[in-house]
Amino acid sequence: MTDRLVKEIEGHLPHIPLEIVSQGAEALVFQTSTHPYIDDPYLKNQKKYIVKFRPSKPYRHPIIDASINKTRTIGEAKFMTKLNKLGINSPSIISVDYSKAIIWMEFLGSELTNGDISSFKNWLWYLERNESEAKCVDEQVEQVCKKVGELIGKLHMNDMIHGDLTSSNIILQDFEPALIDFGLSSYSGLAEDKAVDLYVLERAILSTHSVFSDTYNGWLLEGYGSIHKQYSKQGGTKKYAETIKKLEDVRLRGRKRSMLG
Amino acid sequence: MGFITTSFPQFPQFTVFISLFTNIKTETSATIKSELIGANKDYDFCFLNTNHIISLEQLYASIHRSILNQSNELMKAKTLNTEIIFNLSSVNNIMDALKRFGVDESCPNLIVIKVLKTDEIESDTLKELNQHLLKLLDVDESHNIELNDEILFSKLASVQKTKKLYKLNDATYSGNESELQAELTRLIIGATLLRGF
Repeated sequence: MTDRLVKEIEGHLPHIPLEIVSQGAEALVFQTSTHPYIDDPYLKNQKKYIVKFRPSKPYRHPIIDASINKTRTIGEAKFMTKLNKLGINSPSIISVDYSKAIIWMEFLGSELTNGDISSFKNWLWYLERNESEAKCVDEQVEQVCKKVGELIGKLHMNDMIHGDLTSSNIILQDFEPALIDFGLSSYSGLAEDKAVDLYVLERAILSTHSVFSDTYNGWLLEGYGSIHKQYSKQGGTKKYAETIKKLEDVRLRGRKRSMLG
Repeated sequence: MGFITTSFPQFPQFTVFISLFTNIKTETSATIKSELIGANKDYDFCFLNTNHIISLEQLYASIHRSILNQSNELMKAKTLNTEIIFNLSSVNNIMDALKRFGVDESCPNLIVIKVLKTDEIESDTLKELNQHLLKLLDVDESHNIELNDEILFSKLASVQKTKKLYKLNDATYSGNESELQAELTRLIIGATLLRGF
């Protein structure tokens, strides 16, 4: 299965060495050492780049398929550009091929000592496995958790919803968190949608970092709240109260609002 | 010699020739304009004024996208030269792009680009091309300096005008002057890629 898809993108991007990083239902993510048009771009990492490719799906009508892939590629690119403009940490876009549903973007993060990529998840796991319990909840972890909360707070203050907030979709670049993967992102001012976004992260933390999940979630919400206070002129305090109230509802009933489907 | 060349890993069959000329007379600019409209073969280049070009990366992004569009048969403009100008713009209007980025009598500096087939380039091709341009633009070699990011950003471009043109005045900046060229480059590439959507 993957082989066919890898062949497809190799046909689209000749002479570009590609190494698969992850495969989802919707897209393949590759890492490459080649920049499409310049050797020394204005990016922190000039040796690695990410290529996200949405392959065509053979079970869809070709015309519909192409249009779906194009729309989703545009949507994602637009979301990322908007974040870039707002100064919310996320990868910058390098190049987009809409007709082939390929996005080139900046590579964020570094390698942990065990060779894993420095995502929020891998870092917490690394501490859990290699360090003492005290290290897992020390000041640095607290700082990072709060920064993650602030990052999500900034996102929500701008009425943007990530849609798939998990600890692996948060990358740490020099201990500064950045968001990645905007395949499910949307725009909404509703407290409901923001609460669901927070709930998804809360559940993800609970299941992947269960030992200290309460502490982590507490810090995340603390950071989330502090950013809303900073934006109090734009109604931040009110928005925060609404979202947290909704979050309590969502915790009781789960992510889905309707009982159908 | 004042020209630079580049090529893109995806398209080794093409080589891009880029040369910068300064101190161009107003009359010459006017001639170029009219010859371009008359589609004179001698003027088969992409001519850009330097007011809104702040980095090579911005320029390369546009050239790369134009070659990509050409190979995908998705060019919006009639020629590759115009397509490069169009892809520099964040507005979905070719005439507007030509006005902002094309030859401008009020700007004495010109960036000249030509996309060549790599296997048709012989040892003297590029030199001859540059000589041809020196004659065409009526300038001497001292006004044909090598293009680089420093000249573009600190001498040739207007940062204020560029920010305004790409509607980037309300973007968030770090406030660090040494980061401005990098930040603007990122924002401009984003703005051009999302043109029309």
